Amino acid sequence: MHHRRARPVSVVIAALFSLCSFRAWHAIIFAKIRRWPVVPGLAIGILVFAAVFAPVITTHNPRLGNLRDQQIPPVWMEGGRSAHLLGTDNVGRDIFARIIYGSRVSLAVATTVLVFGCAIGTSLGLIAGYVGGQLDEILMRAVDFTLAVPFIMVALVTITVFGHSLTLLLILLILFSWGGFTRQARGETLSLKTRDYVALARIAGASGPRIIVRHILPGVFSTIVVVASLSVGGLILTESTLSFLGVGIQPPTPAWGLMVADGRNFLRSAWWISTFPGVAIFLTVFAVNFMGDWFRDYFDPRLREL
Amino acid sequence: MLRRLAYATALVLLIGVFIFSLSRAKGDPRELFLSEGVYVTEEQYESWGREMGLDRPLPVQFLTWAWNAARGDFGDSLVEKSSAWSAIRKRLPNTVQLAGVSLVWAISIGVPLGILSAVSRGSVWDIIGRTFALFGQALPVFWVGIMLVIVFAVALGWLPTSQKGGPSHLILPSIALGWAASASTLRLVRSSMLEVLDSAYVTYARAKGVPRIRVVWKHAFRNSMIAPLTHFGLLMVTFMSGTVVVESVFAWPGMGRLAITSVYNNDFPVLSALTILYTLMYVGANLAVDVLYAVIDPRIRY
Repeated sequence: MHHRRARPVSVVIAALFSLCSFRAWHAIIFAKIRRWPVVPGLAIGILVFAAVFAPVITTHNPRLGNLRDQQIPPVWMEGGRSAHLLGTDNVGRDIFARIIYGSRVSLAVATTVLVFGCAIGTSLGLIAGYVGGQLDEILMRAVDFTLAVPFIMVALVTITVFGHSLTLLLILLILFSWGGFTRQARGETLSLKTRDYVALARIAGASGPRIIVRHILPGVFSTIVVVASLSVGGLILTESTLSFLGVGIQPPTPAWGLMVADGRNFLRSAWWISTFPGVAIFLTVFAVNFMGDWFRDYFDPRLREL
Repeated sequence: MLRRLAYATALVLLIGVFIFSLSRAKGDPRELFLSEGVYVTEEQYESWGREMGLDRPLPVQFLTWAWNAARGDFGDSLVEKSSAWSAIRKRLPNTVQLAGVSLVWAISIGVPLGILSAVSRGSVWDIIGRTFALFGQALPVFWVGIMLVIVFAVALGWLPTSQKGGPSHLILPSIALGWAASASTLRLVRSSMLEVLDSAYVTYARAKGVPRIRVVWKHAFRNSMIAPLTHFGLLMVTFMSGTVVVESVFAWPGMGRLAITSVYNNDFPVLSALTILYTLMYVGANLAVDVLYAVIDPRIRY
């Protein structure tokens, strides 16, 4: 019979040592990073934390500045002050504080639009896919329509007529974001409704709405999560672009796009006013997109095209 | 093909209805066409109303509006002393110039880098290409423009900061505009190239002993260009919203900047004309792509 040889103590010690060695840890950490989106996850975590605990993180008022503290450079430059980590803008407001508070605006807009767009889009997609026929045709043409219209021009002309308001901005963004959800949800529904278990549910006497909610919706769910996570980045970019152009969030609310616009006239004297909010937008969108890609590969690698 | 044409027409018509209803949404549409500080007599105001058909039912009003719009008459610009259409026409060449140069950037960077990154998957080129694509997706266009100004115009002083002038004035805006487009081109070319390289006929060509460069160019590249073409429409959207942003960053006297100044001035006639024009260009580009698609790929018939 095979006798299991007792492991010499030296082997165990060697194994322990190798665990302590840098190379081994390096390999393990990298495997983890590749498997789970650690870095983007952390970035998004920090962002949410900053948005929620903004008043704890910074004591500066993001809306009110001190006119005596105009255009103070970031702390590592000559003339920088430790009170203003990233310097101050042209009316003496702390840029770090405004970026922290600005994360609230970006996240709030993205979340609101996503919740409404996802709810409306998914339910319409489920209905279109399940009912089919004329209704399907009309809904899909409507989706084509929202995707085929130059959004920015429609937004500009609507805002000109009705004036600036947060509600209008949100409605416009929702109007142009439900289509993606409808398209994907409909596609999934079309294939799911031919499954045996759906036919069985129908034979068992389940009503249409019940089948949609109880039997098809769970199957569509992962796709919807992927679509949602992939559209957050675009939403944040669109919102900041509109704010930059002066037709989105209105001053003095600290929004990242607005802050970049604030610094435009001071590029020579104070480059930091425009630079740092842009870095915040970039990092956020980068992390969110990365997360979206990961979700897609994890849940649904078929959606590569998105 | 006829179906496509019908959809395109319907889309333009719908945008027309949308703009028309916007103009009527606030009650008297004449308010939208009156600039501040301009006085008209009661009589003029009334006759103007008759001209727009305000005394008649809404469908008739719409037809009047659509008829005028089709002839390019959207009313007079509230800011410039000219019709909305001629204000736009003055700026059209500038935008076309900027967009054209940016398109050259986008294609000349996006396509080769996309192919390189697909062919040598996992190599340094692939890493460069994918990083570039990720950055292009996440960097806001307006911020890229401002950073370019800070580095190349303010700090280094090599290039002018803004406005139109010699060829040197084109460099920064076209890079800012071409940047995002080249990144999305790269992504599309790469993914469709990868798909084609995995296909059976490419493997077969390789097995036959066809030289690598010939496999890539003749067998893979040609077929891989079909998919990115369909996304050309999406690229157009990036470009259109891009012109608005980039022109406003660089004070480029084009249609995008006109759109933004019109918003500030509440210039509804100009904005409505611009919206229709942008829609037309978009729809036209998509139709052209559909035709091109059928020409390139004989398997497709509409």
